[in-house]
Amino acid sequence: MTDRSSREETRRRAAIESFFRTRVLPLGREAAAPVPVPGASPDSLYHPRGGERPSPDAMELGFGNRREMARTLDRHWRGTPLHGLGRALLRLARRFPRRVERSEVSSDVYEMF
Amino acid sequence: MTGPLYVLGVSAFYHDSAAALLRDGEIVAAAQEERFTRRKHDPRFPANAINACLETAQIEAEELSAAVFYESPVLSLDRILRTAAAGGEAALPSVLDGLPAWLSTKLFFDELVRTELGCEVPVLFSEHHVSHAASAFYPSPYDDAAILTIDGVGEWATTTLAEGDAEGLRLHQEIRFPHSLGLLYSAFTQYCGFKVNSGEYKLMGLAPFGEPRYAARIRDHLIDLREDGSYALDMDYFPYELGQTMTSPRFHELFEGPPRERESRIRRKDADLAASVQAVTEEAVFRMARHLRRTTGRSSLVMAGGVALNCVANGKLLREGIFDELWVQPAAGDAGGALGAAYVGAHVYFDAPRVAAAPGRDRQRGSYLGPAWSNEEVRSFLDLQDLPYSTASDDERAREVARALAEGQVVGYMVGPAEFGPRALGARSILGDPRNAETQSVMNLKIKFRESFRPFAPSVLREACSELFDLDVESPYMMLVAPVREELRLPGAADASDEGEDLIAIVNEPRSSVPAVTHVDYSARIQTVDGVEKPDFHAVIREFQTLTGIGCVVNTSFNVRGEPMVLSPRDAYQCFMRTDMDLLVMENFLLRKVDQPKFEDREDWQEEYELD
Amino acid sequence: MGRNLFEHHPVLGYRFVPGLRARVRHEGGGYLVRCNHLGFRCEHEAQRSPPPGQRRVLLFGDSYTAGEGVSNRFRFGDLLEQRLGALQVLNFGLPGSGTDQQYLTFREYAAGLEADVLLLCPMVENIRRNLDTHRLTQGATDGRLVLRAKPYFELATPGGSLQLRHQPVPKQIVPEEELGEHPDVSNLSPPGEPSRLREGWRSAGSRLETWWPGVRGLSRRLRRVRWPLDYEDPASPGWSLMAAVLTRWIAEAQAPVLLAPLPTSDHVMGDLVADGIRARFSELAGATGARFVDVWPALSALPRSVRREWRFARDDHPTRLGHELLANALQDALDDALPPAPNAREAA
Repeated sequence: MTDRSSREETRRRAAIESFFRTRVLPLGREAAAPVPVPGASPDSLYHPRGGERPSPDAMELGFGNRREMARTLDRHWRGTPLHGLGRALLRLARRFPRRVERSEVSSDVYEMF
Repeated sequence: MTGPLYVLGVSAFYHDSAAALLRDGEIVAAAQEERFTRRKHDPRFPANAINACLETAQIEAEELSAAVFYESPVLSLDRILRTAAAGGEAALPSVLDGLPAWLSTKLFFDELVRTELGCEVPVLFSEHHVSHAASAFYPSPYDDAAILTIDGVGEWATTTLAEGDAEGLRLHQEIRFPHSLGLLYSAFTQYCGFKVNSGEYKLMGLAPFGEPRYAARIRDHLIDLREDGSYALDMDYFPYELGQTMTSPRFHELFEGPPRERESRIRRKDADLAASVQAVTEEAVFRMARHLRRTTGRSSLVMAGGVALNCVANGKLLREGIFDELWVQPAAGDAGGALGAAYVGAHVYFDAPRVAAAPGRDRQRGSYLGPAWSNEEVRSFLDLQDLPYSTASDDERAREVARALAEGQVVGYMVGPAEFGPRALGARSILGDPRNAETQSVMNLKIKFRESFRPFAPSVLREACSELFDLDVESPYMMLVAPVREELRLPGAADASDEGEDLIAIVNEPRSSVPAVTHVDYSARIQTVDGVEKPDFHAVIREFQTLTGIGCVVNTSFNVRGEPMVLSPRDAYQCFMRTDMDLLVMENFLLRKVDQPKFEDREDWQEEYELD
Repeated sequence: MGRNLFEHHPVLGYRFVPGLRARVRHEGGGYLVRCNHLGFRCEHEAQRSPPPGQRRVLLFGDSYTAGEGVSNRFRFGDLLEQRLGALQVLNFGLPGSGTDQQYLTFREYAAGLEADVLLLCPMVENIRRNLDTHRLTQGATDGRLVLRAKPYFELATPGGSLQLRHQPVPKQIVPEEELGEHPDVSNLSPPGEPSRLREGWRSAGSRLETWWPGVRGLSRRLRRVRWPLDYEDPASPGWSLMAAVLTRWIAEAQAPVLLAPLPTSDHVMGDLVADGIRARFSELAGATGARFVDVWPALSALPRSVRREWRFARDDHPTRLGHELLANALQDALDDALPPAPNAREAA
């Protein structure tokens, strides 16, 4: 890694850390669960989905560009503590070069991030 | 709309990136990126797999009606950010590790598709478990079925109970992250010294060597398993939410020691742990299945998701008789999510009618959905390097291969379109003689360069299956494990659970008249082969039966340990020359090892592939 | 890695794998490659006679003609077939080839075929390839650069007879790491090692181009740069050899020949002067009885904004639009050269 790319890498890490501390950490544990689903039985640990059918409309996310992505995410989070994170996240994304893909999957932990 | 409806499904960015293409609701092609890039479980955007799908269909990218991604980035981000928030300061390392990939790639699937295909293809998104459910239901042979999908994690769902019929899919219930049967299994995989995401299969193979001595401890401490199959994990034992490791010190304390070092000697304890988590997994799956049968009233069950690759559980589930019929998506893991996404696009978004299946058959076309190489392409590869070969008609080829196998030779077999999914089904397979007691350890150690305890699977003539195994249904995708028939078992074979620590001695003990495919518990992971989907392979086994009286051969994937299955003639020849195989078949070309010139290779070639 | 598109050929050096059905990833979004059983990117199998009621054109050239970067049906040859009707175009384009290999293709596969017109479309840069004994190529399966032998002609004396070399074409390849030590490297185009001054000038030009796109073209236009220089002197070794090969080819042709040299993208943009090129081909056509089809006027009359779309951003092969423009430029001449379509004959 060159000095320049190393400096950029450090700046990006700092930006993520700042995003985490200022936008994510304050959400606290109450953000942990998604909107509670009514109707769960005390004998069962299943979350009910009520026989719903996958919706064609839900498949059109609107993820074509940064502005659309931010709007889509914030629409999803409207009325939750996460509202506004969409725009913040996409602002953060501007600092990152496109297509830096990891070619390996972790052998130590199930990739879930 | 004019012309056919083409829908491309894509899975990417976690494990086993893949692409699949449907034409008017029928599968045209499906392929995994790892086969092209030669990186096992390659998670990158599957540009090569997409290319292969369009190549098979011979269509322009503009002819695609849509590209469908197999999960929703909105719901995934929702889970990730909420989990990070709940994790507090301890979540920072996983955020620093994981968020850059989102900010540089994962958010931009739409853009990646447009750049790769050079045109404005509409991009759609399906939920992860809906993709799995679609991959299980739509290609199955059933008009209606209950659907069970279980894996590590998608967006929030880790287990989904659903049903499908002429009206489409309906979602009933789900278990949400962090509670996950798949991650429970992966946690034990890592604890027993195997790699997460690839070692689960080894853990399943190890289970019959052990006793479920720890099953009660798992039930008492790790999982609250309810009567209806719903469950919750005690997250004090599993720190994977923070992304650093699968098991906590408390877990290690519960099982009296740290995780086994990778590649160190496998202990009796590891086999017992494997048997224990296998037993608990089966119990959970059976309960979910009973619940599904009760609540949906359907008589057929279809399954997908990584846990559905647990063919031992699948076989037992079938024998339990909870459902009359069972069909498991052969690419049950994330790769199959690409196929499911394409189905969701075709049937949910475009409302395409479901194509009728031929009587008694499914719609997966034997899972021979990958790219093929023509005889001309094989010849040009061989001629360019002046490699010695002979040619054979289809009939001659079957006889030659059968004769070689009957003489105890090991054959690399590459014929027809490659398999989609993790199992070799006779298109990219290494074949051996099942009668030979040493075949298993020889193939493991000299050809696959892998652990000696790992069993091999039989590919058996559909019509001869019940002569050898207690299985009277089709298992074309090696997704079912069944016992070797009682009368074929050898008397006096020791009970593995009574043996000491030496697994190799146990492996080498013959247990039946087809010892190379009989696991330590007399079980076998069976592929039934018929003459419809794979006539060339059927002919080989039939010729072998004529020579030996046994209508089955040993079948393992054409690769060495850590290497993705071979795809092209170049991959196949390289693997052939690096190992102790005797004969290589590529389409109608036969190459004998003794005739081949010295193979120039790097001494450290085995380091090319990270051990799985 | 994708599949191998080419195989060794003892006469031509290489050809497409016969019967190939492939798709190639590309900056333009990818393209389909479909080959006939002779090993050419052509939708038709080459029977001795054209199908009843069809006229036939035999088309020769390099990757421009074979259509690198676009699917078969978007190439200028296929477009001409679609537009003119009652026409079968047999495409014998061989990517990376010189006129020498294109002529050998004719001799090996097409000389015995019935045809109404031979359409020869050497790309102007092919003149350099005729001087090469080897070509640098990239292996499709491993991506390595290797040096492969090619067939080539030598002129015993200026104006003398052509001597064919490298027959059969050796299979041996020279890997990239050994290129520097290989005796044939000096025969690679461009010949010789560039001077430091020239190299420095090029590098400065590249940097300037990234800051100010189009500056290099502007500079060339102002300086009226001509290239390839071989065309500027009728007695140059490059033109002497090319003219000799084409003369022999035209003499052996059993059908009228259209000689339609194709410009590089720099010529299309007007950044390079083509007077010498057009003069040489015009003279040659006059001397051999072939008809020179000059595509320059039609292409240079187009607005620069259109011509800019003629090639891909990185790959300088013609885009779909580029092929359309080439088809436009060739269509009238080909229509004139062909006999009337059978239905038109009947109508007359």
